Amino acid sequence: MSSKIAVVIAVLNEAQIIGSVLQKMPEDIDIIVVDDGSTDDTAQIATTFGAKVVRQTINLGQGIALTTGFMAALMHDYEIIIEMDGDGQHDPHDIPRFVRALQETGCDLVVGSRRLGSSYEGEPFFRRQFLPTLTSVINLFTGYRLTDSMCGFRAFRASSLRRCHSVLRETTGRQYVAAEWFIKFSKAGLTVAEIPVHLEKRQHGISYKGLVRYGWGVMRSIVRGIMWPNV
Amino acid sequence: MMPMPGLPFLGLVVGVSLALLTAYLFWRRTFSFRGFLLLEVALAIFVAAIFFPQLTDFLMSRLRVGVRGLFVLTVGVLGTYLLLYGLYIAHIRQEKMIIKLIQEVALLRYQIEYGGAGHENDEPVLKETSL
Repeated sequence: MSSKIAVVIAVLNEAQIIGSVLQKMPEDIDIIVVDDGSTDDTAQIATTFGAKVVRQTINLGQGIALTTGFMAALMHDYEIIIEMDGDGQHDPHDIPRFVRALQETGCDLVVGSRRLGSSYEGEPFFRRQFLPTLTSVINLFTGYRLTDSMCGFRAFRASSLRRCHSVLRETTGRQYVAAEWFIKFSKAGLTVAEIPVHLEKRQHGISYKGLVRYGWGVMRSIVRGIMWPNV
Repeated sequence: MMPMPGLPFLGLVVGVSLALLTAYLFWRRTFSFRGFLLLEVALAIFVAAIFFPQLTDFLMSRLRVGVRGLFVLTVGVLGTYLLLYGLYIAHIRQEKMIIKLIQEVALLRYQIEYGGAGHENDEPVLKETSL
């Protein structure tokens, strides 16, 4: 294995789109796909595209799947671990920008921001009001100055993630773990930078996130983060 | 027409049923020994209070509660809350165990298939579980 960069993608029944996502990946990176209990051919398709597949036999939720993916990535000696969605909304061509931002800023974590990107105006009205509010709450508890804390396109310095291994180990929130992670990462002293990202419209499959469920899940995630003792 | 069963009989049936339920849940490892002991003691007091109303009166006088119905209701609500809270915590704990187990299996399969250095910190994911 020569690559020092791994991309972790948590997927559930994305057989129709996962192939085209993996096809766009830069050549010099490893891909770890976490199959979160899919009932279609997602895992097989990912394997044919050269991805390493972690198979969770039962659907546990995106939060747990990502945690499993990070733990799998930390088994290797990668330097940078990138998290992105497998539904085609994140553009793999942005990956070099994340890597560059990590190197230039020296931060532990680089987060994609839809608000800084060009696609934010196309987001539904309620989501446009909702995301900044939740982000403000998270900023309040972390001291970060994020504009979009809920974007699932992020890059981690592997050494920083390794330092926060207990955060991963103790994550049991099935969904919306970002808020919990940010609060815990801030307690561990991790630094964060943001870069703009552009989101494509979902072409296949369905989103499992309703607005009320989403809000409730994030609030629970925030509480879990606050309850976490200082690292 | 059958005579209505007395309050002590009903109390005994409820108390014994709940005691059996908590014993079963303890046997299934839903409750810890401490939780099981706490609930059994509470049920013993409940049954004793039914057979010996003087005990209720004594407790009421110590707590300076004048209305028996209010006292019994409060104790009942508190007891039910304790039982449900115990069940909820046990459910959360079991769910966490299952999640960790599935994660561990997935990571072991991954490690066998793709290699890797094993878990960081050399701690098993199932550190605190006893499946």
